[in-house]
Amino acid sequence: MQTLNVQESGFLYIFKCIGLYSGGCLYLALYIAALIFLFKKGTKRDREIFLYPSLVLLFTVFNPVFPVAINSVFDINKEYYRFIWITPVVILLSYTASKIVFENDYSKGKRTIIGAAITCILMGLGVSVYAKGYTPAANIYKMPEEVLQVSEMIHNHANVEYPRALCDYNMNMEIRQYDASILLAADREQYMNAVAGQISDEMIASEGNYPEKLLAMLVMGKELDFDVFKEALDATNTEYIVLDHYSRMIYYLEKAGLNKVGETQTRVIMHYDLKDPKKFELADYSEVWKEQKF
Amino acid sequence: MTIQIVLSIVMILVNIILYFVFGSLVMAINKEKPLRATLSVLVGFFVYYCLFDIPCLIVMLHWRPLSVLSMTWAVILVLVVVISAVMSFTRWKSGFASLTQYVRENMAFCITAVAIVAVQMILIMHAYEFTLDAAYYVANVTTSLRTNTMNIYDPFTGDWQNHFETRYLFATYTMNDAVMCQLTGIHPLLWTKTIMSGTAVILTNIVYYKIGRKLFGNSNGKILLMLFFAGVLNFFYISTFTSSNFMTTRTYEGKSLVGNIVLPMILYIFICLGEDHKNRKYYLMLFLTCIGSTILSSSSNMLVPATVAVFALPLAIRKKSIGVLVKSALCVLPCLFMMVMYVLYVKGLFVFYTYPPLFGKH
Repeated sequence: MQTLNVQESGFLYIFKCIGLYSGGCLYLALYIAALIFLFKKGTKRDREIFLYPSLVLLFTVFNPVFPVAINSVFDINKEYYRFIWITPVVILLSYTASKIVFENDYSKGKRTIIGAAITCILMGLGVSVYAKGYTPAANIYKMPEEVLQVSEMIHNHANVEYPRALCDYNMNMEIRQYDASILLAADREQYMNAVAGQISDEMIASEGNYPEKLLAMLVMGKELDFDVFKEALDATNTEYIVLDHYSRMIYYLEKAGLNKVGETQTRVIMHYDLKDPKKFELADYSEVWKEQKF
Repeated sequence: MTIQIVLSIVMILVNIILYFVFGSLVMAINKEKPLRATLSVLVGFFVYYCLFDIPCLIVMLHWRPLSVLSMTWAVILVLVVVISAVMSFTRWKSGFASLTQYVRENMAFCITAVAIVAVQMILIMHAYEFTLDAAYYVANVTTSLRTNTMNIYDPFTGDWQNHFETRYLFATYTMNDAVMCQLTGIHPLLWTKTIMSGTAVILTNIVYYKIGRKLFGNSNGKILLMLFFAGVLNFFYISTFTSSNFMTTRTYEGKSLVGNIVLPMILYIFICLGEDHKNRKYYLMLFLTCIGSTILSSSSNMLVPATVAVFALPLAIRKKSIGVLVKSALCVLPCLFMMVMYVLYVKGLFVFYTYPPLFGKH
């Protein structure tokens, strides 16, 4: 939970955390309802299995003091929500739902109706994983076809085994999952900072910060001085830039001297002639192995 | 495409069979008489990763190639299969006969249960999902395979790293993915996003089934309905943070396995302990689950001890037994040890370099 901070929220943190965790789902409320149901109509064993551990959770994980106390020892801002996973929501709700359907000696027809009604309630109070639509995988790699195409185009054009590229957001996050022989100019954290607009003019103006300079151009649309931009490309050994067809930075890149070497349905691959290309080689561990007895 | 689909189904079955073989070995060593197929698969899953961690760490911390680990692991797999077969063959034979009989007698139950799981698998395995963490986890497998190394190159950029990232060093689950890809020739994306996803869905549902069996006894109809509702809930309990979201979109990640297999498994073990809190084998199971979870994901280092505490405390009070707390605490020691290691690493007290200091690359 990047947007939530224990120090800022204090004792309200847990409530905000539950809110973000649940999103549009009301299953934690249903969980409490199921516990009440088991308390009233369940067996002693039901209470032992579900109710008592839930009380422990109430006094620990869901206790407003708990995250504040833990945060004084470990930084748990990003990961506290995972403690909510301990609450066996799926198991308790599915168990209780099944129990309700078979609660009395209903006929098969009645059970079917109750089962269908519960299913509708569960669906209605939740948010489907496919609420925004179901996107079937385009191929066996479960990658957009363009990832495969860009990889192939870069390799066909490159003279080296490990060419380095800087890509638009999605491509940058996906291409190395498919093809690890394409190196990237920026890592995830640098990229996320750029997306969040956290690359300042001071960072761009100062020495170094080459990935940030490239990202400032690609992600934030900053038209850097051509010399500064090319210096960043040379310093990071970046030969290829992959960007959206409609990006206004294509014109800037062309003016900087990059050439279009490939095109897919929505992307353009631009190439830069490095001043002093450095060949990427894998580290040689053979000397180390010779020294080892194992 | 068809060949790849068939290959995926075969490899999912191979995974389940391997877990069964590993679990079966533990059951045989523990002198468990009747064959308990589903429990063997679950226990075997954790034993598999516990055992894998040993050669993996040795090979990795000696900067040896991934192929050395692949060969070593292939030999270990063969040995375990042979030893397990020798020790359990008669149990397998009688177990298979009784399983066949059970399936014949409960055909409708078995077909419906398989259908419920199959629908979930098809939906999950066939969907395209864009997740940021895959840029690390899957790319780590692809990078390890491409460079024939382990955790030495940065999955995000491909650059050489001068030290191992301790957060991921001991959670060697992804390295097993790389090893299996190297042994089978399967692309890491197919292995992680399809084969391991399918395997994880089956394992999750096996845990639900075991819990259902404990709660409903022999009422197959109730268990089926519970499995069905659990499936519905997992597809509708969606926000960025829920474990169900991890199960349906990031199924193959270690964190997802912790949320959807390990935590329900701990609940299952405590249901068993509620029936017999002095039974040694349940604590053994708990210990294997805890130590196995540290290999799946470093997220378990804090989460698993917390989960065990949540279930152990009421049990200890109910049974008026301090022994429950002591034994549970012993079971989570591996998680706590890993947590301390990580804290020490973050505080800069130790580091594992990817090159020996004498070679002067730091």
